[in-house]
Amino acid sequence: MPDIYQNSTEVCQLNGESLYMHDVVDACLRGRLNLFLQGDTGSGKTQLARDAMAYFPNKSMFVLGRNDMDTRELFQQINLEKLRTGKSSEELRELTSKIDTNLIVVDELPNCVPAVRAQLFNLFDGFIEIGGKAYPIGNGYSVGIATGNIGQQFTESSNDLGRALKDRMHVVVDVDYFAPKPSDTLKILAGNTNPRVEFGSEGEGKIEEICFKYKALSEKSVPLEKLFVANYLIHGLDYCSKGSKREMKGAWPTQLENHEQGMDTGLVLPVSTRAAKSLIRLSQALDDISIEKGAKSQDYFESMMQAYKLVSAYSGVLNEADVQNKYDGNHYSAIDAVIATTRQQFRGNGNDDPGQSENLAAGLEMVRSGKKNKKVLDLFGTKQNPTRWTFMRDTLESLIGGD
Amino acid sequence: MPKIIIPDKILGRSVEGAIERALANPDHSTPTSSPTTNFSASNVEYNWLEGDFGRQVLEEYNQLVQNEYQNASALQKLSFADDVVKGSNSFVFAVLNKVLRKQGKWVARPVDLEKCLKEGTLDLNGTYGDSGLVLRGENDPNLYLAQNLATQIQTKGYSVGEDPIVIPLAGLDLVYDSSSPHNLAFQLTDSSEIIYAPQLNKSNHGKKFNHRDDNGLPVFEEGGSRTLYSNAEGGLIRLYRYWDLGLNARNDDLAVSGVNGRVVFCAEGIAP
Repeated sequence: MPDIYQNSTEVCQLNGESLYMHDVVDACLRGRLNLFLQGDTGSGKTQLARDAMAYFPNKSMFVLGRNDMDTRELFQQINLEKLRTGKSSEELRELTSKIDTNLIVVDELPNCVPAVRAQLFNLFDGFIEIGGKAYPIGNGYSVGIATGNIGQQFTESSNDLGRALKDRMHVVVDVDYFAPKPSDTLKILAGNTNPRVEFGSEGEGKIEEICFKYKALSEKSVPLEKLFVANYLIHGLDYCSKGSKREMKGAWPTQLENHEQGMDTGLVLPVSTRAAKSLIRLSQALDDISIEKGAKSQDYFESMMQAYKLVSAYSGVLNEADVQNKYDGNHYSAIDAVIATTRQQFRGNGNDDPGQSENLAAGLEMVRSGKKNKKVLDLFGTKQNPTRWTFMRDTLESLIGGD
Repeated sequence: MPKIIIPDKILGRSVEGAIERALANPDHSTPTSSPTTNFSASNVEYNWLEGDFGRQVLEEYNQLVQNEYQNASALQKLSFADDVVKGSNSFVFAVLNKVLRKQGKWVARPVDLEKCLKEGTLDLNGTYGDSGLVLRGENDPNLYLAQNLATQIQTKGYSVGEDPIVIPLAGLDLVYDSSSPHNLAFQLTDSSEIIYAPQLNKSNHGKKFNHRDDNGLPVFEEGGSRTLYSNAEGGLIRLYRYWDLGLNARNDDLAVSGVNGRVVFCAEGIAP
């Protein structure tokens, strides 16, 4: 990526390689995952988004979010003002198909009014909605990067903006937690003292390369280990003494048993199937980047955990009161605690305690044999004595059945 | 469903032969879940560790101490005399629990001891026995172990350093740790119970009680016949039932063991 934005602070380590903010943006582009960059004013989030635009010369669009912008002005920006004059569906399709914008960057998205915001989200997802009909744009590849500083509004379910962001943005990163190092700011300041966001040179783009990587990533099969981890995050984290956190609805977490209040049971909700898809996609993209950087082997579990951190920290799954009271408001620290427990669940504490890894291997051996083995299935709990691993019974049975 | 390839390994474990390995280690096969589901709350029987069963458990215990804990001296505290296993300290009980868990049994937690007392199944008078640890802070006594445990507890989302925290030994694992003063360190497991215990504050030292609450902690009442001994500050200390049925939460010597120490274990409805 162009390097106007300077930041050598490590976001995570994966497969022995350090990954940085640029890599996260890269991963989102090749995974076609909408990215929201949250952060304080002047934290560099807009510059980071603008750097990404250099990949798509003449095929990216920059929108500055303003509360006085209406959809008409937005359509004017994308040369679609004719849409307002009531064309037939066919003409509209022809008009929208000419829009070949691949990347839409929206600075200060929270400033936009809901109607404009909705159209922007549609553009991120590759279509425009006119009169209740969706018209595709972007020639099969479109993605959005938005920025904003909205603090806790993410997690307020009553808040329209927070809900919209959770629904439409796949990855949310609070750049304040990955701030540039003093050596980075020294470079930035020594380079020039222009306080404005700079546009990268519109030299060689990488549209074809990114679209190719996206296609390859979408077609690549997902390792079973990652699917098990995703199923754990969907179903295992749903388990609690009351049966299901999802079914508890507003009674979670206050109605949990006392001992569950201090565990991950009271700290985090399960992820949605949609979020699980995003984190698998992000994990695959991060893996590819680490390999391009020289990684010799892949740790699927850790890759999923890093993706989980980036997808879930601001997705509304955390118990916000606990985040504020026990983790000083730091969502990443809270999600790290969930990851530590998840790691213990899967891997245990070492050779003497393999966690569930040995049982999962036994489950796979059973699947290979093609026959159900009650003793093996019971390793994951039973109907009478369910555990957070009971979901594996159904998972393994479905693999045997092949349905 | 799209075709899914079954790998040869998962999480570094070989798939081949995994069924045999998993089923051969019943403690590994116990599904990890929320703490209370690992200890049956009803239909529990309480027993001394004695007779043939006691001898067999002790043999297995000694093997484990040799193989996994390099014969750490703090673990060489049990003896078999008068047909009963004698001795008790925090480390010993954590390892004994490991042995018992393989058979679906566990060393009594504070709450189990109280139920046992209520039922009158065993006469606990004149003996003592560990049931938990009390973490009062990340400092001395037992600085290393206190900090180590505090970090694990904080990882689970609990705060440390305000009210004392009781961790029953039945949910703790023990690992060999050459950095630790006793070469041993406690490890939380998924079965670990973390109980805030303001009752064990130093200010309650000497207070009387007759009964304990749902966590096995004293409910104070004037004129009670049992005593809480809690004049300790900071660090990590033992929690054990005292010979007079009082509750001791002030002893910082985690390794010392006496001949009056006895193991009470719990089993779900089946006598050994």
